[in-house]
Amino acid sequence: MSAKKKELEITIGADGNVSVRVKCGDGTTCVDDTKFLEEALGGGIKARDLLPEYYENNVGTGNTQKTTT
Amino acid sequence: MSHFTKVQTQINDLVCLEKALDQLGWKFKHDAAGVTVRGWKGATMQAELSIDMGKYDVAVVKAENGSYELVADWWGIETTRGITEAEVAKEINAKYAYQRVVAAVEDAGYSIDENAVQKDGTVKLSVSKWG
Repeated sequence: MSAKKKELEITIGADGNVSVRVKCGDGTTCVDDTKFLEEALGGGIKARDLLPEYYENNVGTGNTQKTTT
Repeated sequence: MSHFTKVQTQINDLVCLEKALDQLGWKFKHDAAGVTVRGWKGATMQAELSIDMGKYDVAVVKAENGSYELVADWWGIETTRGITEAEVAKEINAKYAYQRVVAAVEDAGYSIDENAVQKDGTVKLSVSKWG
């Protein structure tokens, strides 16, 4: 059993809304990894999108963007 | 697997709000026992936190759901300070969200690897931890 690196990319918009992208390997705890932020910000989830290109072992370089307006 | 989550921000932590106001350079008074908030024609009200907008103040008032709301004579603030209710809320929400996110990720044991402010005011944080 080895430790995994959990990485979050957090975008804080000029309107105060926050988008979080999680990079993780197996998907089992992935959605749970943002719960602490959802609770801290308190306003509830506006959108959650699973990114199929990350289902495989592609960890990407941080260039994937989503524009939700 | 990866995913995006978009979360709406509610003000629920006055320590982070104070840091946000410091970041904006806006003066405020905070006292759990109540501070005076100045409104139109000498009218006043009491609130836990009062933000000094010059002639008038913005009250930070706890709502029934436990989060805080901004209450003010917005017309008075707009005509004397030149900033609308929407602009005040946007400035505060953006800075508050940043402070609250930084506090939350640090509490959760993450370290901040990258912290970049873009031209449009958007802040991008990259954080990570082993576990």
